[in-house]
Amino acid sequence: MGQVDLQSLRESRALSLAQPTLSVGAGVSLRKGRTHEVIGPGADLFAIIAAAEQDRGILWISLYRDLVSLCPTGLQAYLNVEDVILVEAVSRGELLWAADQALRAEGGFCVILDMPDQLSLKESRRLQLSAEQGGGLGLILLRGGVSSSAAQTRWDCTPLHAEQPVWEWRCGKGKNGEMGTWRVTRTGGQKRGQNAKDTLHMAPAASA
Amino acid sequence: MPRILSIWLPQLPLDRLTRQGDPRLEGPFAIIAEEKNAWRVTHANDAALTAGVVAGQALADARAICPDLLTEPGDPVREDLLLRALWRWADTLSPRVSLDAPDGLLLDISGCAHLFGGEAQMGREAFIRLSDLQIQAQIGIADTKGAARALARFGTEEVCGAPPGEMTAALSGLPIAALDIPQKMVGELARAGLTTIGHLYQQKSAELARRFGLHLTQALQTATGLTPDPVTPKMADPTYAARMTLPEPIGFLEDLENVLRRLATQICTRLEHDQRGARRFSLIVRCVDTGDHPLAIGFARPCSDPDAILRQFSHPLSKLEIEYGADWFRLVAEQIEPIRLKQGSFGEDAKRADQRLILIETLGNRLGFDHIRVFKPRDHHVPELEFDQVEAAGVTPYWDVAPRPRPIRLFSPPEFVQVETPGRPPLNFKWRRMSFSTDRAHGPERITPRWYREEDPRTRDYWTVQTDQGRRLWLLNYPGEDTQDWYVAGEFA
Repeated sequence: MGQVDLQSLRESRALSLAQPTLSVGAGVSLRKGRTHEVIGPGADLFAIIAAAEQDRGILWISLYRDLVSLCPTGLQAYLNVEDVILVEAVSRGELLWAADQALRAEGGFCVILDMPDQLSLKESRRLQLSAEQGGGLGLILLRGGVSSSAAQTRWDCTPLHAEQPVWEWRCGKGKNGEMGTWRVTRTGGQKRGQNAKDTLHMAPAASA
Repeated sequence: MPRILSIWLPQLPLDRLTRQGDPRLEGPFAIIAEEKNAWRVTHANDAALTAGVVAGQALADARAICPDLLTEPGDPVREDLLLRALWRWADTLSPRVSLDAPDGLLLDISGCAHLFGGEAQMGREAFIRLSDLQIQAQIGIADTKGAARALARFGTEEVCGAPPGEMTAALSGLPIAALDIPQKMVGELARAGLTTIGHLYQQKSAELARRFGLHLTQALQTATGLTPDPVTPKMADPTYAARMTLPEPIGFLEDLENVLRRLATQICTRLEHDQRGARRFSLIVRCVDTGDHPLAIGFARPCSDPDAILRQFSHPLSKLEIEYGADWFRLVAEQIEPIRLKQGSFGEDAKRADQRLILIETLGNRLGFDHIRVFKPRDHHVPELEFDQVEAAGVTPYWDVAPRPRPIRLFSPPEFVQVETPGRPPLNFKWRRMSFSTDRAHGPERITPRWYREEDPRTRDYWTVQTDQGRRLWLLNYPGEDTQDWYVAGEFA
């Protein structure tokens, strides 16, 4: 009896806190005003597609070595290159400060934080709170492994070997039970233009 | 008939040091400058003059005459700043002031003199006020610029006036050098026996022009008022600055912010009135014990909003360590730019653009504006030169779609791969300590560099490779080279 009550309480609370979500594709949705962790070799693309859907200013916060390799002539197929603001930090402290400020800022920016090492629970909680305040979308690319965190979801993205480019997005952690695996392909042919809204269509994978 | 007042500041570089309270000026002291590979005295103080040092003397000679002589090279930039400060100060005498660089000011005082009780009193007043500022001056008042300058420089008294309409008589006793002519011509005229301006009146101007050039007759005509030569006044550039001195030192952040708000409001009201904004603000906080602390902030666009200034200063202010309090503040607006009141867009778009700029300012003030960048397209065919990263502040970002699809990560310089099974492209290879095997490859895309430029002259072949492991790489090879090395130039999504 008590358990049922708890369940209903949790649901009503979730409803009252409900925030707009961002639909990245069929079945894949990210909650705004939250941070999401992305790992794996396909993390860049996941972040890029989510950022393109967000349709706001995109801040790419990173150390110099990761920022110089970013190539707008490749990004143009997915998002509006004008929207991208590159923020170069020189230390871990600056990275976190910049991400915190950008998430907190008014305007609901999409903040992509290229994190070279792990985030502690405290740091990730802080970013999460900032995202809740600003209402933007926080995407944290974890290059240095994962640890327990306060992020809403964690996505493991890998490109697959197939006839045409296919990616596997696996949500291994989801606070609201968003878990599942999606197989993503590129349809609609090679786009030359910048309007990348429909370059990617999702096909839910067999497993979920 | 216009009346001109000329202020000559013969010892401006020395006055600058006097005002700073330089103790060296008590003994013989001179300002020197390098002329024609030799150091020469340009200004000497009274003690040095008494000892026999004169302006124009070689430094070695001056030292021989006066062994105690102390010297310092002139500082034209600071002297010019002092002169410009006096230029603004001269507003108290007349609204029309022009700069007579490097050591003078010209004031059009037509219709102003009666406010001071007559021309002579006005000249006297200017002289006294300048003396109060510890600046030595000589003043000439005449109908023309040339005559006023001549009287200031060669007049017998500190304030020398010529009655209206009698320029010819007033100038006749002055030496030729008082005219605005080159030094060389003065020597030539002296050799011809002409030493005072009065001597020139007795010569036919046609003769003078034939022998010494038109410049001489022109200078004479403008000085005597036969040809008009008006003062072209220019307003001194306005300084947007405000300062506040407090009777008691303050130290709480809240109080500091209140002071800053008052200063910012004062400056911003003026900026707004002139439809201008500043891209940089600097604040000096003078603590009672530790001296001046300069703080500065920048903006992504010209700003005249006190709230924005306060917001950006909040971080540096909170970092400031004040122990016993601060009692003197000065806020200066720098990099003034006009604000064009133009409506670019409606509602949501304008709001978004504002939010973007505010964020750039916030990040830029801490990380440095050169660390906040946007992409800019470049017209080029070499992949790593197709774009640039430029400072985001003050730039409207735009992007031209490049014609060829490229990887989303581009490594420059390319990363070496270890070939396990050779092929074109290699069948098995190692990159970043990971093994890959090629499944499908597409290429080559051959790119020739600009051989006429100083850059890597090798031809490149790019291959798009789908590996069995899943990742799609952009492999690079330089055909025609002895060593067939392979590199990873980029990674597709």
